[in-house]
Amino acid sequence: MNIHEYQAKELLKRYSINVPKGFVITDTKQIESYTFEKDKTYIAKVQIHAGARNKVGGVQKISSKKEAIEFCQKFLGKRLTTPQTPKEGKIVSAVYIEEALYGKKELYLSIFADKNKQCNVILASKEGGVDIGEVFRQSTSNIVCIDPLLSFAQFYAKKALCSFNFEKDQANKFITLLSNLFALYKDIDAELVEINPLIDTGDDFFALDAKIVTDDNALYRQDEILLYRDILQEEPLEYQASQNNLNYVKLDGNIAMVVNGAGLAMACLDTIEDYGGKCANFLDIKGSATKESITKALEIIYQDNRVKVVFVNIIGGIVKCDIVANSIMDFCDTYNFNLPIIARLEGANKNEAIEMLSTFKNGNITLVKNLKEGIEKAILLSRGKS
Amino acid sequence: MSILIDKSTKAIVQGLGKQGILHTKLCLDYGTNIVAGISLGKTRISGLDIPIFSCVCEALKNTEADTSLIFVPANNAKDAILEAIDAKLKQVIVITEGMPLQDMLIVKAFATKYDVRIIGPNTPGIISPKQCKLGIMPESIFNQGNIGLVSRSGTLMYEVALLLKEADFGVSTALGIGGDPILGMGFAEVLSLFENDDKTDCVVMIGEIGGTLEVAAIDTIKKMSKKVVAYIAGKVAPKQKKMGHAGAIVSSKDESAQAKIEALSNVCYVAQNPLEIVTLIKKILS
Repeated sequence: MNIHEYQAKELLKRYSINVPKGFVITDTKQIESYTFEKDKTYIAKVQIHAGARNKVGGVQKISSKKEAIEFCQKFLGKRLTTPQTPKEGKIVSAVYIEEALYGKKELYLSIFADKNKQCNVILASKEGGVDIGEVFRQSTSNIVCIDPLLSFAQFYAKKALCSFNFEKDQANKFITLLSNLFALYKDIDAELVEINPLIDTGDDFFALDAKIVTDDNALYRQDEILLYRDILQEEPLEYQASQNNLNYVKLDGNIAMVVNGAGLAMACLDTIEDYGGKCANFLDIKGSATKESITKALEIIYQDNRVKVVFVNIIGGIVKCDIVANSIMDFCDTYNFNLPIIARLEGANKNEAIEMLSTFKNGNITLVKNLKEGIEKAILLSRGKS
Repeated sequence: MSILIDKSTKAIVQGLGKQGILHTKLCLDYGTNIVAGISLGKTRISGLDIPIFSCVCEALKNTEADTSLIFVPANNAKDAILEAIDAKLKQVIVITEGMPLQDMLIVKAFATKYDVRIIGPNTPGIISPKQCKLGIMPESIFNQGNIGLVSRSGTLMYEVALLLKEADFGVSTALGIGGDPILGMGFAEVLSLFENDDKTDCVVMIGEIGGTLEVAAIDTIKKMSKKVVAYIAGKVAPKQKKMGHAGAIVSSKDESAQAKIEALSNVCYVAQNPLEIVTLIKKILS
């Protein structure tokens, strides 16, 4: 799960990591209660779950309340498209305003779970302010792998600052900072905590920008982090899906898919495209699927008016075919759904399911025997032919 | 023969909730030798005709087992796997879905330290048709045969098993390595096992976007005498989107389906979609 920069900074502060003084604005009126000091520069930043905000004016220097109000009026609640957002952009949920801070050096520092090395990694570089891919390529970056059985130890921090030529005092501050950052990383089940840039003022370090991504699988034990969830940042249908324990990703085509299993769903996508069709979505009902969640999956598709045909592809193991058939029938009854549904049901309780659907009249359902037949039919129907 | 599990395999089961009991029964019905179940404070579970022990070490004092099959829910799975590793079982099959990343990092390091093989998590398990099944797959779709089948995804493995069956082929052993970002055994190790198995004539490897396990198998494939057909799911997956599996996310160029397909094309057959796998297998085995 992604969280906003201002939320990440709240967490950093709680772990004794310095951040510039700042405040969050969710309604332009709130600015009235803050004083802007003369001769001070502030930075106003839009809060969205995407990077490259500065490329489209989403990060600006301001020096007065008037400019702050103008910035908020321009962005708050509006959609902003950056090179890293989908083309329709993301809604600016909040504006964060903080005191500008200048230092001697801009560093880069992150901790993340390296899936290839299979350990947590510290990545530190003397050249901050660039993107993480760039930092990786720099020969001057320090990459430190932490043994999962050991967890954090001070020498890891020393390895991370190796060749940075800090004075003793500064080096000790860096070690403390890193050990605090690692504690935060572990405590919140993060996949990534990134401070970029980390400003070296000569006598201390400050996090100028921060990004945190946490592990979705660990949210069940992270109640506080869950409060940071901002549903405005999520695609509405994807949000509905996640609330119902479904994996849904919106795509550009007109063939809706309901599949059990992520790999099978991806393979269906690939095959449909290879045969010349276009999918409206990726949808995995998962092993945990229930009659309710499958019905919800169909309801999500119902809300997508681009859809011309629905392809249901189930190979039952944990998921039982008759439960899927029941959901399809309920859904057709409730919504008088008359778009064509192509159903391929295989595996557990297949015969019961096929019997139920073949006698069901209140819908436009075609039963197919295998993947190939299903995909060919779906593509034909998506082009308006039958 | 087959790989990892066969007629001689003796297994215990950890995590006997509703799903655990159901699938233990199905494995027993298939003929799998499950010698004990683990459930704290119990000695028997109604409807399940195997002895139940409170902990793994107690089960091993009273029975002989080399493999554990784990159904324990994600919030307790870490401890269950660590317990199985500590008991020095040969291999641990983790069906559990949704394990936190940090938990799995520790499990993986612990297993490496004690040289215990982990399969999964988030795997449908392993089946060696007509010999042994330790998992949740519908057994009827797996024909016995001479093709080794290994996949990251569960239901996609089922689809390919069905396609092979429809074309009158079968598998020596089929297994899922799991859909998570941190996994026990990877493709490379499974491929070496298939290479050394005299009942396997060729191998189908089903990968997907995310991670680099498929590319890490390239050196192994190069050394193999047996032919490998690879398929990488997720050609049309948008970047930075998690496609269902926690591990199925393209976070760098090397993790895309295109990059993997290109890299694998130099060392083995690559199918563009599941249907093409069968076409290629026909070519190899005819």
